[in-house]
Amino acid sequence: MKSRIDALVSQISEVIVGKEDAVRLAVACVLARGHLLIEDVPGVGKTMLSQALAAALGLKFRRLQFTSDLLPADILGNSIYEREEQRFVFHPGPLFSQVVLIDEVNRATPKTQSALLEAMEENHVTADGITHPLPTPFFVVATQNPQHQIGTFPLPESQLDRFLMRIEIGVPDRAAERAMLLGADRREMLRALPAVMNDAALTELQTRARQVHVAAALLDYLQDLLEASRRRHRTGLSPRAGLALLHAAQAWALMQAREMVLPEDVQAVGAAVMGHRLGQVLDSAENGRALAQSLLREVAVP
Amino acid sequence: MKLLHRPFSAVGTTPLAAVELGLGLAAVPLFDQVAGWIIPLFFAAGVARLLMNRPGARLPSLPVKALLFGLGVGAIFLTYHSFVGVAPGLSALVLLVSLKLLETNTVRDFQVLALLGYFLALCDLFFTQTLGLWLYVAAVFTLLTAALVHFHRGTGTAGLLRSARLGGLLLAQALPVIALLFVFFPRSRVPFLQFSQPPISATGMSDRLEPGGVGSLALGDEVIFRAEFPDGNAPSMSAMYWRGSVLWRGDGLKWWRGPELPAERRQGQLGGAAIRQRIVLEPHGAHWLFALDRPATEIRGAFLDAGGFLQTQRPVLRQLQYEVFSRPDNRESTLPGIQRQATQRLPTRVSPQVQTLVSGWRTAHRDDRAVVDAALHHFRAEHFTYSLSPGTYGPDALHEFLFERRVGFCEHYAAAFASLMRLAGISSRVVIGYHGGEYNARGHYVTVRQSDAHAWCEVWLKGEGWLRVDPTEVIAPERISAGFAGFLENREAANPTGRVPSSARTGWREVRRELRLAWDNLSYQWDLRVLGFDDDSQRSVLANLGLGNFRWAEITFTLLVGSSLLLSALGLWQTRVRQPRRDPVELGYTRFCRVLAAAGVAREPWEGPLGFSERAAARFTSRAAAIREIAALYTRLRYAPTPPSASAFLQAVRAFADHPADLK
Repeated sequence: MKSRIDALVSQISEVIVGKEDAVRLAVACVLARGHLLIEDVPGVGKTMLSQALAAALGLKFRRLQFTSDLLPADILGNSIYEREEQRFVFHPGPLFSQVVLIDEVNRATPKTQSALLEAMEENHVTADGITHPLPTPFFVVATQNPQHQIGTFPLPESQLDRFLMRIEIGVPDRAAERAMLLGADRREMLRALPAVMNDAALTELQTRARQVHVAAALLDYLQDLLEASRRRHRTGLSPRAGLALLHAAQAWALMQAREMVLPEDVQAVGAAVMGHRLGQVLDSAENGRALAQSLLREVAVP
Repeated sequence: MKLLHRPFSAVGTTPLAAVELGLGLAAVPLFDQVAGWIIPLFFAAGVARLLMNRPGARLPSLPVKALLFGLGVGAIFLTYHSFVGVAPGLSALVLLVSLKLLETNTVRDFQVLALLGYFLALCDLFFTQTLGLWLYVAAVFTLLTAALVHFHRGTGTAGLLRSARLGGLLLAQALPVIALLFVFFPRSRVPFLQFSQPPISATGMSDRLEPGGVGSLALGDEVIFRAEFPDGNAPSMSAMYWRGSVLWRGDGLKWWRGPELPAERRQGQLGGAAIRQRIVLEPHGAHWLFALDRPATEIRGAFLDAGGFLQTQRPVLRQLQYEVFSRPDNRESTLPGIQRQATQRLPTRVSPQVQTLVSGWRTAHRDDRAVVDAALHHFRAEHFTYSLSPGTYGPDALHEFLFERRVGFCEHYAAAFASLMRLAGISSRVVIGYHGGEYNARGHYVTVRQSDAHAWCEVWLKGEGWLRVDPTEVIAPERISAGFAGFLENREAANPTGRVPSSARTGWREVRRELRLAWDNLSYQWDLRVLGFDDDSQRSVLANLGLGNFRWAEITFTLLVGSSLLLSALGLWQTRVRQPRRDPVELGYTRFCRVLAAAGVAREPWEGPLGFSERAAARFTSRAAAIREIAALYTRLRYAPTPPSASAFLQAVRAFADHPADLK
């Protein structure tokens, strides 16, 4: 179990050099059946990370570039009249894929963003009154540039909440960068990346993550965190945020090959899970992260 | 839209009924102090107010209330012709409470009503302060507090019983302050606020003896006083003669005090061992204080009058406690001339038969003592009988008693005997007081009741002084040896017409007697220790506390500071953060963390067990294995689906903590 997850992590890390923390968090996000938001400046490997993840998991990958003129139907699909069959037939959009990378999610109009996030939440797409289920596993990786750029529509808080985690990748350190500069072409490597898993194995891992034991003492700690956030901030963490934190911590514990969740697991995923839920809409990513971290430093482990 | 049944009252029916019940109970002990017509008015107001709580009902308007007020005040004036005094004042208070009831409509009204209830309950204590009444007032207080609590909780929340529990708790929390104030609140010699009930003359002892005019003796069981013997040298029951007053003037069966005689000079001639008594005297409205025959010391506020009995300057209108020494063996050497003169007055009507009887004794015996014995022998030999209902005697009562009817109770015998002695030329006087009493083994004290009233005679014998002669002892020895209650019981048992009491009935009587004695003991201790805590006791308590030289200003200051400290402590305790009970695993982990903290690696509060142990293991490499093991055990205990037993963990912690020096 652990070896398989470790293999997954090291596989991805071969492509994304020196970013094992971000990779681990991304894997945990997948295991917790959550969606991932990567927020960073261009060129640090956001796309690369999601592609590597899809490749290593052996999942079907689709990439979508969001622009301001993109319409919901462009991603969800259209019903088109088929002359031969004499009826409307639904043509699934690019969202119907196992791993969907949405580049620059904050460039699309709120209308399109809403359509996407609704699909993410419901795990299906409804067109003309007919519900079309999305494939399983279904995993969205959205990237976003820091929001002080011109021509973006920042995601509202309520929609940020749909992402289990928000992570940054950051520039690699000097040694890692050197290794990258010296190494082979990333695209070549990506194409050659062997899958270490298939969707059945992933589904099994996701199920096992939910089964990691959560003791009453841990729930005490988790609830202390939630309450502290509500005391400190006008809009504290929602119950959904609490669930997200729990599932992420369970996934993290599974990655450590532990049968129970420890406060350390919560702390490990805490900043990624809570950061974008605590940070105000217009705040930078660092701000939300700092809030989450100070919250973790403030609440005692009971 | 028309509002039909507009809820008009902020006062719910349950709290209203509760506070009315409290008010009613608080007022009951006052009923014989207020005008009679107030009582039905008071209850009518309560019932009317309850009925007004129905939907659609209305409270009386202002003119109606004003009319009622005017009528009530007028009626009080017509009843008492004054507004000054206890009874008019209390009547006005009850009247105003009734009217307040009728206008109670708001939160504020309700609170005023409850406060009036407290005040009424305190008024109950103006007159008597027995233990029973105190308990009653405490119950009324609890009820009123419960009503307040219930009212403020709002309707439909919790039962009245739960409110009562909270109310009782609130009052119980006041107990420390009560205790503090009890000890330290300045006492004064003058009663602070106390009215006295008019003494009931019918039950008190009178300083006249007129047994011939009384058809039968009605003796109540009111407690006259209780006595304790602090030195443990109580005399036997039959020797317990409680001296009340001495009657110098007599005429046949009629005896009275006569003109004031100058008190004997204290000659120190009283002999015998001194018996110390601590006496709690119930108010009787007269001037005497009781003590064992014969009191030898004066006490504050009282003096020894002619005849050697204690006389107070002011009538005893409230419970009085005093300590007195008595010396049972008197040995006066000289009879003051003025007393001799007083005792030479002879009865005005002496029939020839009486005269012959007395002259017969006198000629037969030269010695005074022999004459006394002869007289006693006469009573024994001539079939005199003891009866509580001897019937009345005519104008020549002495003759009738001695030669015709020969029936009477102690007063007849004492009076007749004293008159005979005077006729025989022996100085005599009648002493009235009490005899015996009921010994309470629990509290080691004697309760003397009205039914223990007794009269006996004293004669002057040369060389022996005043000598007690109790003719009743001769007539009805069991009256003296068994005490009055025992005497009655024996007579009842001997009565052939009476049914033989079954053993169950005697058993029940025993239980009742035991209960009565226990309760009597409780109220005696209450009187003695709580009500009897006067300025003297307070001074001695304060002296024992090392406050011998205090000033009241200092005490008051201490009191204020003390009570505020006490209340603050109480408040802090109330609002304290309730720590959950900590389990051994928790304590073990805390200990582990403490040891590491002492060695220099303190756990941050937010740090989980694994993170912390890794940090500590990195610092103390020599014990890293132990640290990791403890952390692993702890995480399993705390977070694992099936926690193992705690013993391994606790053992590991103990082993670890026992060698703190290894942490380097």
